[in-house]
Amino acid sequence: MDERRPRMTPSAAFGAVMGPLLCAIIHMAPLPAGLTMEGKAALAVLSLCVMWWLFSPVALPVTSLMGLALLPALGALPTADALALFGNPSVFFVIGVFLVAAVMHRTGLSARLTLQGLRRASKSEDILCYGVLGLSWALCGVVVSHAVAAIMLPIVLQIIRALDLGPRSRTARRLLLSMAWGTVAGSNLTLLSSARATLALDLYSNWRANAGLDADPIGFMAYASGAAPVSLCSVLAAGIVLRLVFPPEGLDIAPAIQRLDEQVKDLGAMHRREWITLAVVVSMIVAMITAGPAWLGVVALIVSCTLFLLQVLRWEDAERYVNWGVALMYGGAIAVGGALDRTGATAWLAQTVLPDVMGPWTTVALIAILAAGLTEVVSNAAVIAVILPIALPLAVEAGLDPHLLVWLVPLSAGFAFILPTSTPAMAMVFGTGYLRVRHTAIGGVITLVSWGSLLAMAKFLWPLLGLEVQTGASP
Amino acid sequence: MTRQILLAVSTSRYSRHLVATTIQEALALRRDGDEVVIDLLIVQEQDELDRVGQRVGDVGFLGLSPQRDVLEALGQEHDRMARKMAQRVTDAATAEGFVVKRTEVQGAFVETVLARAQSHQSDLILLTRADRPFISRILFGSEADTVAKLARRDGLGRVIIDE
Repeated sequence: MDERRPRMTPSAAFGAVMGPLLCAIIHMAPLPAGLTMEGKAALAVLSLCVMWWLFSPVALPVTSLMGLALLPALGALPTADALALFGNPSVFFVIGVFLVAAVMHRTGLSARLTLQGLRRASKSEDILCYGVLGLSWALCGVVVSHAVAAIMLPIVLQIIRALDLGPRSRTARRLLLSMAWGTVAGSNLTLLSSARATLALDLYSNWRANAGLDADPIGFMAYASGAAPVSLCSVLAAGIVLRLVFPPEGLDIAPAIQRLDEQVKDLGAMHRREWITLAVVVSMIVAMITAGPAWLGVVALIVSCTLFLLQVLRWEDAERYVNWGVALMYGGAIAVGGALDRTGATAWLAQTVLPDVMGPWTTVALIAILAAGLTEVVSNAAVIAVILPIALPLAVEAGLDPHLLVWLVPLSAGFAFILPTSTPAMAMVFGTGYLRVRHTAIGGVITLVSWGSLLAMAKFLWPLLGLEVQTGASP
Repeated sequence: MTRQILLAVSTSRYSRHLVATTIQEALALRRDGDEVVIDLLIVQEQDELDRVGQRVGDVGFLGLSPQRDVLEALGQEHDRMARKMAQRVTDAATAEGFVVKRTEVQGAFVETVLARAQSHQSDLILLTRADRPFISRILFGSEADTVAKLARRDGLGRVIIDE
């Protein structure tokens, strides 16, 4: 693998300069009324992180580490407190999630499920496209969405090659977008689909602890029951939009069926290690559902260790299939978010800078729009780290139950259907050369439908689950 | 006199209109009594693939193995697209009786095109823009414009950016 990194783009150079500059300006500015020195320092750190997460002059984990280092350096928190925020249960849950994705990839189980599912869906051009969409979405229920995209892309490109589709082919574009939009919608399915929901849960529990409120643990099923219906609406909207914008070309898909048959045949019978992986992953999901929210990280770690013990995953595989920067990114982001809470910076922002005339529904809409807008250009984990700490006190100011933001922010940050900068899946399909922004701009419709369904769920379904969006709700 | 037309394309910088414009320019040169050679340069933009790999690794947090799988799949597809593009240009050019010389190079678009124009003393450079959000182009410039600016500065021949 070529270790060479691309040269710094003009936008990255802009961010590299603007981050520290903005940080210095805020740090040296006079102290506004109602804000503590520590809070101002935390906001200065946040400004640098936002600029660097936005323009990516360095890898995301490096920005998180810089934020972590600056918290004590600028006086936001004592060193021990800042570093203690780094080690939290969510980081270990995220590690477990990525190791499960690694073993699914490494053993070939996810590729087998995909190929066999697609072979069954190969009835017609139309159904094949729906098959790619549906499988990409459904696999995200157990495998982190970026890994699903990495598994699906080579398979979809093989289908495109088998059908000898050209760069202007509607079907090629539909197949690629089915994969990308399926994983984008699927990233909102469960806590295993992406790490951002876990990050949101952790920021929320830290905020409650800092505010002196009782713990409000949210478990695997509770999260999925609020998120999965919205995810389902997104994928249905994606299916309809893709069918309308890229109607079938009337292709003979026999060469694609033949290619899939060959690949399924190459896989042979299901291996012992695939069966073990399947059994362990199913057991993990059952354990996560039954064990309760406090045990999610522990279950993920026990499952990960079991996979090593059963010899289906080796440490070399863990190194090759997971970028361990993920732990640094999430640990650092949680530390910066926690510092904003502890220093009162976010409460000050919510009370003084943001408009105080907003009702609960306006607040919901503002937060959703901001998260969905930012996620098109910034890593969605960074969106959570920036928005959620500010949105929680803002929700309280607006009389909104802050409990809701655990769904609202990560789900909105998952509506990344347009730009190549939004998610790795979108970057991959843009990288094929088949798609331009004018083809994906229609993804805005899916974002709108997803928003609509999110608000409708919040209004009608979530109250049935005990989640009220109401004025004057107590945190 | 033999005139060299450098037609620079890549996976993200190709259009049928660009090919049609190239043929029109070649016909115009031939009407002036010159012999025309179309130098088709297909640039495999490594930076673009590197950026995808970087997002898979740095944003998706997947390790080197999944990154390699993704980049291999994209590389194979780029090769196939390059063959298709070359075939289309060759078909269109030979139908008008022009000679096409095809070269595939891996590298950065601007540097590769300028180096080729210099080494082959191109009389005309034809290219199109990569599709990018308008605001990004306004803020951070366009590589096609950079080729035009540097070619003008170094006297490398006329540049046509097919919009």
